[in-house]
Amino acid sequence: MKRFRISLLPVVLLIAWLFSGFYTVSPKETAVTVFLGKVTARRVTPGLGYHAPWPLGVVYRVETTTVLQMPVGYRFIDEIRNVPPTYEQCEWLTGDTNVLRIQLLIQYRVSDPYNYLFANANPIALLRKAGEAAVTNRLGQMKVDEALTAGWASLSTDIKMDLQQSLDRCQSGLEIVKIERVKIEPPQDVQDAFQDVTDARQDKTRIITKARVYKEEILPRARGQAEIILAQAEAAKTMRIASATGDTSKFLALLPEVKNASGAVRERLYRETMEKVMPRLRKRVLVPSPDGSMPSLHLRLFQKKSSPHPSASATADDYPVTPGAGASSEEQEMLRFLKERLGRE
Amino acid sequence: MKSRIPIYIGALVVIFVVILSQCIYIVDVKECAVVTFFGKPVRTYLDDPGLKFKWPFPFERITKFDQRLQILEIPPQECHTLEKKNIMTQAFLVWRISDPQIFLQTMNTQEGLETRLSFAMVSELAAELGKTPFASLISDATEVKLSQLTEKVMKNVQTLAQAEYGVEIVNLQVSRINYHEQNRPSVFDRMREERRQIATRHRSEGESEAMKIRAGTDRERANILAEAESTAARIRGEGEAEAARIYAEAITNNPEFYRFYRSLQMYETILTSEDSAVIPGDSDLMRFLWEGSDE
Repeated sequence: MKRFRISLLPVVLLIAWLFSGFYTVSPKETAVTVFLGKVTARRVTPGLGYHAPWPLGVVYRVETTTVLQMPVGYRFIDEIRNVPPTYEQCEWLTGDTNVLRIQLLIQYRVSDPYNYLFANANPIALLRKAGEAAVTNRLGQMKVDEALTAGWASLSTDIKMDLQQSLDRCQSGLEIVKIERVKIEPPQDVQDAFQDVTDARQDKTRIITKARVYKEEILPRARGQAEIILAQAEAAKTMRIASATGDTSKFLALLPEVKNASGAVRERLYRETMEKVMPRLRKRVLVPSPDGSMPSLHLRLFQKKSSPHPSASATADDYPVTPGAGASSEEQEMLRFLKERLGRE
Repeated sequence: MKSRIPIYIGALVVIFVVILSQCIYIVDVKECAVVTFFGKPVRTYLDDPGLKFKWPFPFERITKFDQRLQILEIPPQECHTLEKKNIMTQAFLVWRISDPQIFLQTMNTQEGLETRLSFAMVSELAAELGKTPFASLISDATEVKLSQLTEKVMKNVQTLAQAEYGVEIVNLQVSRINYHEQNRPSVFDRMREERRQIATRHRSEGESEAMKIRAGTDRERANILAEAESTAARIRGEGEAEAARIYAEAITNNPEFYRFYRSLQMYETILTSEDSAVIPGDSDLMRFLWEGSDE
């Protein structure tokens, strides 16, 4: 009975020791198991497992889903203490030998726990240094303007590519998830000069836009004006043709009549015209015929000062005269002149 | 006699355990090891972890090293480029023991090795930088020699480390290239000057572009109007020609009568209320005024 009790304790201890070989891997983790220094499982997925208990076997757990962050160009501790990074930490050269302040945040996670644990002694230090190297290399091939404006997309892609390559080459077991831009800016000393360039670029756009607005304003108006000019010309053409047609149509209509009775038509037209024209004239002077057969003379003179009207001179049938006289004292003289002239003829 | 036996057994067990512990050892996954027989290397375990055996102490000894990749950084170094430009560079390399036996014989400690490697890296880097113009380290042109340069430095360090220390260089990179602190003010001056030029260029480009647009607009407007005017003139001319044709066509029917008819029309227009007429009493027009009663 006594012997039995004594031998029970080691058995219990043995069983307890064997039970300590059970282990769990949480959903965030991946485990690597090592038995006597040799890796037995490189990648143990979450769940319950059994492995030889310590000291024969060891289970290493690494969080593989958690995304971690590594600052480049500054340090978290300085940020907490509110110390700005030194120029040596945060300044890089661009391809056109300008200096830029750069702060990036590398987001990474452990993708290969075996390498992370056993192949590389200090993957995190490597990440920091390789990150800086990638920035040096890639920014050193980029113009400052590009880096400050549209270049970030390609810059981050290139840096990520370079960095991943270094990490893989050095078996760090790390994977870059994303590279985030915290700050890319010119150094404090030259910031105003860079700002001026930005302003100038805006000025340029503004001036050009203004000119474009002018163009948009002027050209449609000019086109409208051109339309008006053309429309006016078309109207003038139509009117000209219409008036010609109008002018001639009456004439053409008369022609058959003229053919038949030329004299009658002429007579009628002539009289009609006289009827229209005569009342309009200011002075109508009846002059006795040269043979003096006119019994009396009705004469009326109006005072008038106008120059002789050359186009109103002779036609075959009447004698329009524009007298230059006006005063009543000149009446006699005018009359004498007319008499003399007519008498001579 | 009866009581002595357990003591002997106990002593034997202890001796056995001690000797066994000398004979059995574990090379961890992170480690490599060299076994020496009276100081002479006899076995090497590289990439070969696990349970190993050897002769106990006085005969064989085991030395373990960390086999993992190690990163070695050098502090910022002042270097000169081909054109004697002062630059600050910083570099790092990643190394690993590739031949534990050589490593054991030559270095034995990591600290010693790292001192040697740093020295080698700094001098190789300085030598290569001295042969390289600054423009090919940092340049927006396509040809950038920085990676070629680091490859070369790495190869040189690698050759040395491999042969002399049993160490492999996995990676070597320049992590930083920067101007020396004393050059910063002049660099900033140059940057500021450059920016001012660019700003001026932008502004004048804007002006010239705007002027171009305005001038183009004015010219185009002039073109549009001139074209319209010329088309208008042509249209009017067409009208005139058409009218002339209509007139001519009408006149050719009876030129003599046209002259008469047109003259009558002219009287209507050219004789105004300003004009006066002297009409002989016996003219055809007035004759009946006097003669009417006679006939």
